[in-house]
Amino acid sequence: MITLTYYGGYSYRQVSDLLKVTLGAIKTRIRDGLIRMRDCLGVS
Amino acid sequence: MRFLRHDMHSLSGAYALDAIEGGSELDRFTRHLSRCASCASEVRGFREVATALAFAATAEPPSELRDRVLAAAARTRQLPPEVRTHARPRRTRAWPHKVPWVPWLSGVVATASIVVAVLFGFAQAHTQQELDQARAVNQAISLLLSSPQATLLSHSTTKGGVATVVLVADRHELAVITNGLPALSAGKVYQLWLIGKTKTVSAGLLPPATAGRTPAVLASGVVKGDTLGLTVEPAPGSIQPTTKPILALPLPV
Repeated sequence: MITLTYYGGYSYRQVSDLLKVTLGAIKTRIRDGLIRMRDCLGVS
Repeated sequence: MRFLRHDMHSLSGAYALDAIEGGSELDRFTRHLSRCASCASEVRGFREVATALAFAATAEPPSELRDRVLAAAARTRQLPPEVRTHARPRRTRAWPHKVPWVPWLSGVVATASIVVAVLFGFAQAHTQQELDQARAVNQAISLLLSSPQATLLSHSTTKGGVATVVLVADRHELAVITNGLPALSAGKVYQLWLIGKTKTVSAGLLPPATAGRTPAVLASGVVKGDTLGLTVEPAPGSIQPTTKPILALPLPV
């Protein structure tokens, strides 16, 4: 998902259309993914 | 559409990745961000992650890329300075949020820096060489002109224009400048000669004229009995004069 939004330059609404996932799920997954990566990298 | 507060918070991830389309939604979130400390701090953290993602995605350029770039730079003429013919491009509503700007921008800046550094390197080396040469010639000419034993001679040529000679007999050197010589057709040059009793030696070509004047040409090895000659030769000059001199000035050595 992050690959599509970030590297692909799609908006989150476009990604939700492409992957047929609801908007709410997209927003949550992007955010959760970033939170996990952030914690991995140790960003405060 | 209903807008619940928690909907706004959930957009922090999308915002950090520039994945919210420009428009009312983006404006709404931006306003929310200014009011919400936790989202602001989340977005900051996520932006750092995004930067890390950008670096993770960079590729090592192939080793022969550097050589290719340098070779191409050596072959490429510098562009003339850019002149803006129209006003700044219109800002569309989607700019700058549509494009993932962090990796793109750092990629562009990195490439541009390399190219600029390479071109500067070439230009600097070439310019330095020219500068050194020009400086050496100028020094020699100034030394000549400041000599107390310098003799000044002037004479017109059969084609028009005047040649002026500064001769320092003791040092066997002279400098020649011309003014008003007619421009030559392509493939022809003016060549100077030291015509002696037993042999004639080239004293160099006249450099290109600026507003009809040629910069000083330095000649050495002037001996007693020499005459300064000027002829029109085919480019890039001849070993011996092939045409009748347009100027033959006996030198008081």
